[in-house]
Amino acid sequence: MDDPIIRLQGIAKQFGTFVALRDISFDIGRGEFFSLLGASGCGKTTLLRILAGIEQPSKGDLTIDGKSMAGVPANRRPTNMVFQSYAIFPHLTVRENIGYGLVYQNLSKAEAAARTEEAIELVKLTGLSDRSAHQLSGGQRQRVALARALVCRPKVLLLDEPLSALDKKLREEMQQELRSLQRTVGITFVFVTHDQEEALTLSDRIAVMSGGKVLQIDTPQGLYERPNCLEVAGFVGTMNLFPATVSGADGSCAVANGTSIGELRGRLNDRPVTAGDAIYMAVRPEKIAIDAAPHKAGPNCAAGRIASVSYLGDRSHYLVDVAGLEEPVAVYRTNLARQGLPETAGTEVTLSWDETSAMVLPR
Amino acid sequence: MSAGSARTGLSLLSPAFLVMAATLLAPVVALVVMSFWTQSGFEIDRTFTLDNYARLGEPGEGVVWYGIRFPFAYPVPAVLMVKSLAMSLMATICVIGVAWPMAYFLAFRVTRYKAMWIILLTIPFWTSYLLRVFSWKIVLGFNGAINSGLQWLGLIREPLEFLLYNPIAVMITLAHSWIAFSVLPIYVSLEKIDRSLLEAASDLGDSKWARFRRITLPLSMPGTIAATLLIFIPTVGDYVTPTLVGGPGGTMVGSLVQQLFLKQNDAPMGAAISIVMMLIIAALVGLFLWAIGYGRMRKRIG
Repeated sequence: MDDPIIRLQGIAKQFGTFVALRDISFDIGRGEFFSLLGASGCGKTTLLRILAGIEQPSKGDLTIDGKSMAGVPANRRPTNMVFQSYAIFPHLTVRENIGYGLVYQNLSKAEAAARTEEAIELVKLTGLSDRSAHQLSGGQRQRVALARALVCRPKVLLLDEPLSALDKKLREEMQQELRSLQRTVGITFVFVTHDQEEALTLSDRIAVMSGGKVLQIDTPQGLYERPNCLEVAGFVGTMNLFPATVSGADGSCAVANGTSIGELRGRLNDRPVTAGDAIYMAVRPEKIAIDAAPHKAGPNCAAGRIASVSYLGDRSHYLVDVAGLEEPVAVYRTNLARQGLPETAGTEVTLSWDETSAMVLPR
Repeated sequence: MSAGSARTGLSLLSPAFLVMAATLLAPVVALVVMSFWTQSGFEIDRTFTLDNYARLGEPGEGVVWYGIRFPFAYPVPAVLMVKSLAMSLMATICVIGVAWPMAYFLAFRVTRYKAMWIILLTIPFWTSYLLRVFSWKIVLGFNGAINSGLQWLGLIREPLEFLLYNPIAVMITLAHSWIAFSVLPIYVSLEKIDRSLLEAASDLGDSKWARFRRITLPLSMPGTIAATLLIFIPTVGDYVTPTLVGGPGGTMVGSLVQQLFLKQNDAPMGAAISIVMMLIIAALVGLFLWAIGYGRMRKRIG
């Protein structure tokens, strides 16, 4: 990447004997909405705190806006952070909280006041400026934290699971607002979350982390359609896995056998395989067609019996038992196409999918 | 609240209320009543009169003490009141000055064995107050630890006489006796500070010192104020310490009240002085809390 805003090279972090991060290297581009996604304990928050300067890396180099951050403390970095707990100063009003960092910006009193009011307006807190922290709701506190960080006009805004304390509806609203806010201000956002849906909705690119390592960095679509390993495939969305053995490959397509359901074909995703490799054929639940017609001969086709149907309003989730597979196969259908589909558990059905919808994952 | 839970609440409160009424309210009421009586010889005259108060405020030639003029016919109580307030204030400032860093250390630097540190703090209380005051007599006395130590080192020939029996000795002893009391409230208020607030302050540009001034100090104020009052109020009226280590120069108003009650046989006057002192302290505390905006602060920090 040319001229990235953040460049991480071989960043590692150890707490005593516990290794929190190992050999992290990647770039984040200017104006990007970049997410760090992973389960709790994967090191994503530690990485964010290293970017903020609250933690120091044990090894590796961090460059922000072309300058090395080695030995640069948090208060002199061009970053600001929105904390998970929001960390609103309880002895100050909303206005005082938001203006907290402006004393270091060499502004006149009038300019600082104007910037504060502008930020209050930006996060829609007009009229609440004189309230103190404990008079605010969760969503309002979150806005104060956001405004307090943005008002300093950082080059990078760091967000540590800022939406996790909000209820579902408010969270979805805030997601939209956060996204449009990021477009308005044009600042690079680095966003930590354990919620894969949130990451997919918001981000330009996502780094999926596990055990202190980055597994894959890609666009939301890239992660979903072309996961590079089993862990990413399982973490981002749901994935049906059919264990198989490669019997051959033609072009970008692998042919696999050795399964209880006959021949399977799927995309290689630029991953070379040779005959005899043990692999998984992976298929997303929404890409599988389900119908009551009897089993046809051919690849990517399986006979099964419905184990359960969950009605979710806009769509239905089926679990289908297939002979020879340990786990039932998950199938999602939108309820637009549901007319005439089997409804009851125990019904015999046929599952089928395109070979472009399936992909090879290493076993 | 339903009638039932109100009754439960009252019955839970009643033991404490009864104890308070018996041990706190009753003596104060008795003191107030007594201050309106007069002593005539060995008898107490129980007719209601404001004579005691009038005598305390009666103008006269007065005395000059440290450049301050006390224009009263009976100036001793006024002088001693002002002196007691000044000495307590000094002792309180010393206590807070020593206790604050200690509480800070406990809250922010000690990560393991916190309970042990707190128990260690209370060790001085395992001996009685009287013994602790006496021990200062041994430390500061004519043949005490400091004098014999300095003599042994050859730094002085004759023992220093200015160590004991003066206001400084009283202030040192008072400060030592009350330090542990003030560490705990300050420690609690510091311990309560969410560490992410400090990280946020750094993140927003504060240096360590600015962060201390803008976040840690204001958030510790409820505990610091509690500690200040906890030391200041009881030390003003103390008479044990001035009696034992104060000598003639270190007398405080408590000593006068004790004298009036037990030796000079003028309990009503002693009661009147106590009441006036109580009102002055209440007024000073009220003024202090108002000046630092305690109400506003409590509303915010909770």
